[in-house]
Amino acid sequence: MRATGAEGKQPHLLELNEITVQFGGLTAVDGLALTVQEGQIAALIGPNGAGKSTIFNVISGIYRPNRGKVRFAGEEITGLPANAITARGIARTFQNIRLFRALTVLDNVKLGRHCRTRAGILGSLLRGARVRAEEQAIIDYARRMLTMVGLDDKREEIAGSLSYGEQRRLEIARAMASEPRLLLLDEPAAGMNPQEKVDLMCLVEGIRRLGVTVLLVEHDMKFVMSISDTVAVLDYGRKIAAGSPVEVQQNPEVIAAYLGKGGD
Amino acid sequence: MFLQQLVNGLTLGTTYALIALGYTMVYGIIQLINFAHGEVYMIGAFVGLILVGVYQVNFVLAMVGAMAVCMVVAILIERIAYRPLRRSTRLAPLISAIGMSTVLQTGVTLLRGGPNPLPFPHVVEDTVYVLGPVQFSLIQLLILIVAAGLMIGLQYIVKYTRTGKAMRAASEDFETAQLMGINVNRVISFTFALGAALAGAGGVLVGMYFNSIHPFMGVSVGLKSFCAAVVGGIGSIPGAMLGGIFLGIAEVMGVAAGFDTYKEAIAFALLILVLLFRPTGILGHPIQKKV
Amino acid sequence: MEIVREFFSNPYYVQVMTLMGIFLISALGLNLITGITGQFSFGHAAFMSIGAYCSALLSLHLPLPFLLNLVVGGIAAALFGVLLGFPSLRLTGDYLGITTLGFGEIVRVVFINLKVTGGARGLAGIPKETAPWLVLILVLASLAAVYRLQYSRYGRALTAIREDEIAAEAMGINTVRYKIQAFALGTFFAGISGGLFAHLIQYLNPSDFGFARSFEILNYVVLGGLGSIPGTVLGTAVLSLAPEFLRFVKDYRMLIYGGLMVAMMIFRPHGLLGGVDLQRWWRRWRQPREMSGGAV
Repeated sequence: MRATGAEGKQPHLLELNEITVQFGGLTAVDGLALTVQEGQIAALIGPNGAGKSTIFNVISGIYRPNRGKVRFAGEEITGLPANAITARGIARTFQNIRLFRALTVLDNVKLGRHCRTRAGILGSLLRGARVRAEEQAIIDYARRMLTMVGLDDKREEIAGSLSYGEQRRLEIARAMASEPRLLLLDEPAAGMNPQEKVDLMCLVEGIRRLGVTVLLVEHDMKFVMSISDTVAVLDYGRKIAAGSPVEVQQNPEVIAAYLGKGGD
Repeated sequence: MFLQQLVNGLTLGTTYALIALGYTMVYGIIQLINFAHGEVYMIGAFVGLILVGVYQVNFVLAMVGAMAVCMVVAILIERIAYRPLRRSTRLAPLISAIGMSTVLQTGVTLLRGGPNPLPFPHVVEDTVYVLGPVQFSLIQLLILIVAAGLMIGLQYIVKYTRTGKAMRAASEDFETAQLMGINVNRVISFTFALGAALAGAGGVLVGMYFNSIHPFMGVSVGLKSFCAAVVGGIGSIPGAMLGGIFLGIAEVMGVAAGFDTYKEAIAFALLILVLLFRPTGILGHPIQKKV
Repeated sequence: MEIVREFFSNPYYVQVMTLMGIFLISALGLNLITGITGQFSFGHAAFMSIGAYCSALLSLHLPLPFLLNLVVGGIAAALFGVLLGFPSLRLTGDYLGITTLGFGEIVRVVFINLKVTGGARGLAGIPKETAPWLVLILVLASLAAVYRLQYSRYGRALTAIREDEIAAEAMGINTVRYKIQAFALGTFFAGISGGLFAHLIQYLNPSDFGFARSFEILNYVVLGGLGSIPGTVLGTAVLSLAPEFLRFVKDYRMLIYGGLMVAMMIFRPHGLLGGVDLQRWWRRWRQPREMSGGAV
């Protein structure tokens, strides 16, 4: 990790500068600048098609932006492959839930722990003491994560058989298993009933108390406004407002963008 | 000499093109490599042989008959081996296709009473035309003309008929085509039938060209034609035509250059080169990855 | 017991079982590549041929011990397997499948042309080194190896790649490295089995290792269930022993195989044992006791 100036805390945990993403003739994200401080719960909102998931894909390394830079904890991570970005401490969930459906709940979370563990081909074949201890540690950590989201008793179920809300929680447990500094949640509340959303809010607050910074994309305004410290609003790939939830809610441009599109 | 090889290559290439079109059209719509397509070509040759040898029909009727039978066979194959698997994993239809092709190969072998080649009677005279340094046999001319005619006919169907438009729509966006009310099952059957007709014609033509057919002739030609379709750009009809001709010429040139024992590998070598450096083929469209 | 003793003293039966074991080793390798890691590989027999020819040539021309030749054959196959791993990075699914098929055919054609391997007439006079007990030991070793690989952090990563490559990357899995390694490992098994084959049959012909053979081994894995080790064993056993029982319908054998594949895909695409995870059943059976025993 590179430090600019003195060792210690960087001003921003995550910094996006002039990020532009184009797909053929379509500009999905246009010159976006965004910062997230450590310890915050930050939210990205905006009408459908505003480019929110695209930004997540850029941060997590699935897309390479046409222009612009992404800095994480002072280090530039633009263009790094997704697995390297996870190793550096950014984990994510997916809008369309990308669980390993044929595997068990526990195996899914164990996989989340992959980048923090080491056993390779030789280790798997020989299964020495160190490897066995590591495997047990993986299981223990995975079960702690599952307990945190309330799914430990279902750990031997096949992931694909879980309910929608449970699958979302499982994805969060899996992402948390990699001990991230920054957690990207892509529409975590989608498809949840009000009770599940309340539980989710508690979960996200719990994650923040563990020292993890959270950046989430969400459509549910109540959810976003109750839980976020700071909100950025996107429209047509551009940031049109940023600030505290209260400030953003009163911003006339934001209101226009939402009302113009039929609102939420 | 070079021009002569070019002519030979062109002739061979158009037969590859005729078969490649079937692969490309089917792949364009349902993303399936129809491994059994080579066997449809082979069946066309055998039907042609029966019509000519047993019933003594002329060449045109033999072709039409072969095309008709092949269309029926292809529609049946699709119904039996592919349609039930439309929603399954990627591997299942492939294995089913290979299984189907084995069934057809063995089936024809059993019917014919053995895998040995059968002679294909001479249906047209062995006249040779000379144009400058180049010789065209009548058969070669026939192949070129018939193939060109069929391909023009195909282009017409695909561009100007309603079913052709439906085919193109389904190949661009299967789900939306369904939502637009297109009967995709019928479109798919139609596509299989079209490809089979071309392959069947190709079978008869090749039978006439080499005067010999056998139950496993579809294996090598099928694989090579598929390579041609990929090289030209899978899913693209002009691509299949281009790829077929390109492969035919490459093969003939390769043999002329002394690589005759490597002939079978030429198609695959081209395939791998294209897939590594230009995966969408010469005329294909790049596919965007959506997450 | 008497039956068993009689069975094993019949050299023909022993030969059949030995061959079955040899192809099982190859099938386990293919299962690793296609069943566990999800990478289509339709040219697997070509790697058997690389291992076969390599070890055979070593045996014929150099005074090295057989086991060494065998391992070198396996490594040679694995090196080419790595070569095939690179296209797997750029191509998926069908395209990878036909590339592997094309590679298999190219290997076959090359071997037909090489003088040193005897060309189209094949390579004869290979010393008989493959003993049934050796094959048995290697089969058991292979089973243990793939079993350990599958149920480990490494195997989980391979399975993740099969299930969802993008999510696997998001887990920090370097899919590039893992895919290439999967090809290397799987083709190593193929190479070893090829070497065993060569030193049993004592004669090699390139046409023994064409697409038909690759498809046959794929059938073993698919019938048993992709990704399932017991499935691969079952599939190999059934399909390599079936010809013995179907002798009377020899001419119809391929017809039945083809039809069987079509029917399997339609009615039971997971294969006979696919989706049956014995380990998980075991754990679930034990789990309720844990729950009642103590706190979670």
